[in-house]
Amino acid sequence: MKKITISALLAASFISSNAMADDKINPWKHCGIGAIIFDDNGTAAAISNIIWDLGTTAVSSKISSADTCEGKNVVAAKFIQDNFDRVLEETSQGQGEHLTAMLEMLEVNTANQPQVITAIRTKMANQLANGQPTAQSYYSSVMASI
Amino acid sequence: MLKLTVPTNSNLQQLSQHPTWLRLLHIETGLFTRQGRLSQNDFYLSTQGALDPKQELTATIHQFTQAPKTQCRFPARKLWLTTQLKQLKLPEVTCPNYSDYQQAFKANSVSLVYASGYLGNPASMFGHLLLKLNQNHNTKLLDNTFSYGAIVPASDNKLEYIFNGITGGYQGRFSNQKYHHHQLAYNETELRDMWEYQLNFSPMQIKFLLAHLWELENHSLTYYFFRENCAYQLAKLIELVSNVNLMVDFKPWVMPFDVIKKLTHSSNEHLLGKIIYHPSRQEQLYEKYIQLTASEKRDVTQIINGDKQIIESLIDRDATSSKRIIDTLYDYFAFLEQKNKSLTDNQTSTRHKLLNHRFKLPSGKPDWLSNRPKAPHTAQPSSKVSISQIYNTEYGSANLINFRAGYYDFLTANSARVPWSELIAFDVSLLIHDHNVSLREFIFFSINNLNVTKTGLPEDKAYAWSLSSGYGAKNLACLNCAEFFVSGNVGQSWTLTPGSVFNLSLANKIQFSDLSSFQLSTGPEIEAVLLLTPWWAMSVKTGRAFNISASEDSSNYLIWEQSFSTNENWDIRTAIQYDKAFEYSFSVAKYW
Repeated sequence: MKKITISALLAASFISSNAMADDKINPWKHCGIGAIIFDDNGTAAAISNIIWDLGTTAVSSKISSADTCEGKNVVAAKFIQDNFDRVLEETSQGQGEHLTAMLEMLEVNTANQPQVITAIRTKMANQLANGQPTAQSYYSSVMASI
Repeated sequence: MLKLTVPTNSNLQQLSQHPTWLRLLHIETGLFTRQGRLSQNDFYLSTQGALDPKQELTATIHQFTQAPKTQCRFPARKLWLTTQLKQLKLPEVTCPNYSDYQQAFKANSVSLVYASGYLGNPASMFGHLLLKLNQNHNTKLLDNTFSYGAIVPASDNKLEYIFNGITGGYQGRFSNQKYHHHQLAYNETELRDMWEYQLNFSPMQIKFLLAHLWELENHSLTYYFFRENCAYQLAKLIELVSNVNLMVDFKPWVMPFDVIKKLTHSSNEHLLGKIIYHPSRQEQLYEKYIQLTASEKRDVTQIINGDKQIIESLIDRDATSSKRIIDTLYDYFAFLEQKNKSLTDNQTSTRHKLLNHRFKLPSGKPDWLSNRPKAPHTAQPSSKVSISQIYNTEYGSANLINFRAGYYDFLTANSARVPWSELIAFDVSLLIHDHNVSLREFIFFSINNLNVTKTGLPEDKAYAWSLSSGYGAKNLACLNCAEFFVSGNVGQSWTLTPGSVFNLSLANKIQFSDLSSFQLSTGPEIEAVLLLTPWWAMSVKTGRAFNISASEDSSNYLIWEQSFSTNENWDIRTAIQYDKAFEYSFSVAKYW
């Protein structure tokens, strides 16, 4: 028996102002990832909304648009931000459901996924050896690997 | 020019009373009225549509023919009407938005997902239900879901939230998210298990379901926490599509568990497909830890205790063993981060080293045996009525009639519920003695969580706690001596075998008959819960209550209760209690 926050319902109006090509968008800079202004809340809301629980947008808003902050790259970036620990763990393991989901979001075909994962794994191993990677640096590694 | 064939008046009258039409209009029959539940007028095409299904049917056919674009707003009505009225020829119309929606939400099958109860949040204690539309992805995480919940203004405080939630002060609506949001919220953050019940819907049934969800977009219904909640609305959706009844008879409230229980009833066997378990991150930790060798467990414990040398020495182990240790620790730190809201610097550093080491190992996960506990529908039904014969050493024989609205206690069969916990709401006991009926006890709510550790790992433990409130007899020696009470315990639990738990706690209680005076008592309490066989369970609780307010002496108390059950719908209980008088009881209980 869940409750939906009205703020999440209103959030969609904040994010649609940036109309630019998906591949030119820096999701963290242009779409406010990490600042809880995206349309379907994840980690941040899940953690903070102990009482109020999940909220979301209207039914048709999930139909992806290529030139806004709802494009596939931004959706994947949000997913990485929300699930960063899990995604990093699965990258270290070389497989996992979150990795598959991320690559599916980015429309990497199934046959190419193993080699993309290997490339991401190599990049992240280097990042990890040299410091603490972030969701944003992980996203950059992913985009450089596909 | 299109030839329109209009059904006869008698056809319309008959059709307008069809259960599916009434469900499409969300028309509910109450004690005295029958009315549509949608709050917005534009959901009904006739001004009287919420009250008169025939007028709404006539208006729908009229609009579908005279304003064909209306068909795009009500595709489920159109689907149903065209199957019921073969002679009805509607003007053709293209609906690009609806076509996009159909494409985006296409599904091969549908599942009803049950998120287990969560004692950390009053609104989540009874679990949650959502619909999952299973697509052909390589991962379930990208499946679409639909949930129903109340729209709560962020400015509302907790009291407003509770009051409005119970009394219909909020509107509720369906919303959709990708499944990975639920996986994150329930499995990872709130550490709740999820159970997926696949429904054997045909492609046409799935199409009809999605069409009706489209009709509900931007429409809301009045939300009532105890009835017209997530469980009720999802059950109504399934009923619309499958024509089964998912409401429990003689139960005016609806809980997610009840819908699951009804769904899995033998009469609905045709509807039920596979049942899939999605364990919480905490359960994933337990599953892995139990499969480690003694030496791997030792290394896990030492690494948790901050021995970073052990991480370096993992290189001496074979790769599979190293992976088993690290993957278990991934789950441990993920669990700890949720439990404590963050990791310490030391823990973060340890996790960083583990990641570093794991990247040096070959790709691939070790093989783990998957453990599937009993699914939630195998638990005992949630409501209870019982009759007891008692003998009290102060006033002799009597009868006790008990009614419990929900949910479960230590001695019921509690599959997929919070382990070693009990959650009781609206429990009333009436005492019949010498042809007089008196209220022996009313428990408004009682929550007891023994919080037992499964691994013994550092920080895989929490305080046992309980909280209850109600109105009940001061002790067993008196009749008509009930007072209000609030009580709470804090303590520690241990388990010696998988079927036994022992608890030592500090028990505190406030009792008062009016606001001018109260009694405060506190004292140690020992409790044991033993699940001896699948059909025999017992609990023993004893303690001493020191009366701080000093108006009465301190006293000892004892409750020893046993339950014998061979059928999930019935049990027999015996109890011996002492609180200033001894009382012996024998009861028979029916669960539904």
